[in-house]
Amino acid sequence: MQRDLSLVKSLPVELAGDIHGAYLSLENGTWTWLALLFRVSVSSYGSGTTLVLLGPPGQVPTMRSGGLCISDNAGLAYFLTKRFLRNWAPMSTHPALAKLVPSTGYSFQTVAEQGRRLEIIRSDNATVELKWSNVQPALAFEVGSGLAPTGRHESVGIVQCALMAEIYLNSERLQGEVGRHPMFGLDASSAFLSFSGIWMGAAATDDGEVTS
Amino acid sequence: MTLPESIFRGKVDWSGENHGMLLKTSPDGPFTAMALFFRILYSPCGPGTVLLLMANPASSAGMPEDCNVVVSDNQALGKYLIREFVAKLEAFASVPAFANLTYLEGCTIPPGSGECPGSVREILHASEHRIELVWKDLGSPVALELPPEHTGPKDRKLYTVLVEARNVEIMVNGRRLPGELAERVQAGIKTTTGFLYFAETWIEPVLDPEAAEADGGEPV
Repeated sequence: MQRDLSLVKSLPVELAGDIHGAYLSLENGTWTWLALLFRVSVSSYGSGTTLVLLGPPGQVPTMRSGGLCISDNAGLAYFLTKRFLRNWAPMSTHPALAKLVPSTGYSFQTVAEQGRRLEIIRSDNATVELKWSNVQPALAFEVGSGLAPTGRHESVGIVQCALMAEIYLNSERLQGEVGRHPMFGLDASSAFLSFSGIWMGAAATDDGEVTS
Repeated sequence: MTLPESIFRGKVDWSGENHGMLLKTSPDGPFTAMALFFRILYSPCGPGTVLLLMANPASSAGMPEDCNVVVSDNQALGKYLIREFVAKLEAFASVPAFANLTYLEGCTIPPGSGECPGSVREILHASEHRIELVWKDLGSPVALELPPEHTGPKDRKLYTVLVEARNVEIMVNGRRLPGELAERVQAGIKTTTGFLYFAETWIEPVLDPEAAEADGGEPV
């Protein structure tokens, strides 16, 4: 029996799940804090939840290097920070990304309401709260590698832009506001909730090489 | 605002996970137990968890005679999925049990539910009942893009990741329901009636694309 190639995607599924983001900036456009929360259902590293938070180095004692990664799956966290985000702007150029060492998250809590979402991530030495509000209706997207933030996947899924977002680290609100950021071909808000993303493409190595 | 080519001119109906298992006690007989588990992340009724279990599909009785139930933590979502989605799936809607389902609200999901290495286990508590679904011997994930005519409901487009299960269990209050998986074919893939659908999104097509564009490109 032959697979119906018009219905079955030819590329392997490297990751499936949700990616929620909040990129905060100053009025002059300078990024201050960048947060991505991954809730992965399918990957070669299994499922799990991983937070990546990048900010100005040395500003907060718990993240002197300028970065924080909390995960319940260390292998998945390694894959996300070393490979998946390699070309993901604006995180890819942040000096802390390559140095992140994941700490174990022991609590991941979600509060989802109409137009709002709160995610609370706790590790031994940090509690991060991500708040999105004024969340817009969902749009479905399908992009090739040219528009995928990773630069190497075909991706489908849905995205909801949020007009407001806040990030709290150990109860302290972090500096910055939501701005604009291109995403999936849209001139979009820099705060977003993306659900049911399917990221298809050949696996990459730590060096960025794509394996067949 | 004109939407770029990468954005669909259609309304997202719902998005999330949709796992199922259909069991038979004889290869040529009807299904003797049928379950659909939904973990919904986006829908007109908000997020939530919904389980449709027909432990005796041939019976038109609900609880307490037969465990033909819809268990959920969001009753509006449960009713929406049954009415707007499952009712359009021939295999489910055509059995006697579907006409008289018992709705159990306020389900809770205890620790231990979810994905484990090599298997997926979903446990729901509702009222005094405990229902456990386990998918084992999992296959590799395959991404599917199905136009409406290739889907069960036939009225919307589907994107999803299929993971086949070759062994499953349904436990109701500690009792395992009898039956085995059957074979089925989807998109030319020979698979089983035990399935995990992850990252699933249903998109209703635009009925009048020109009107949608004139309306600013917003989904209709």
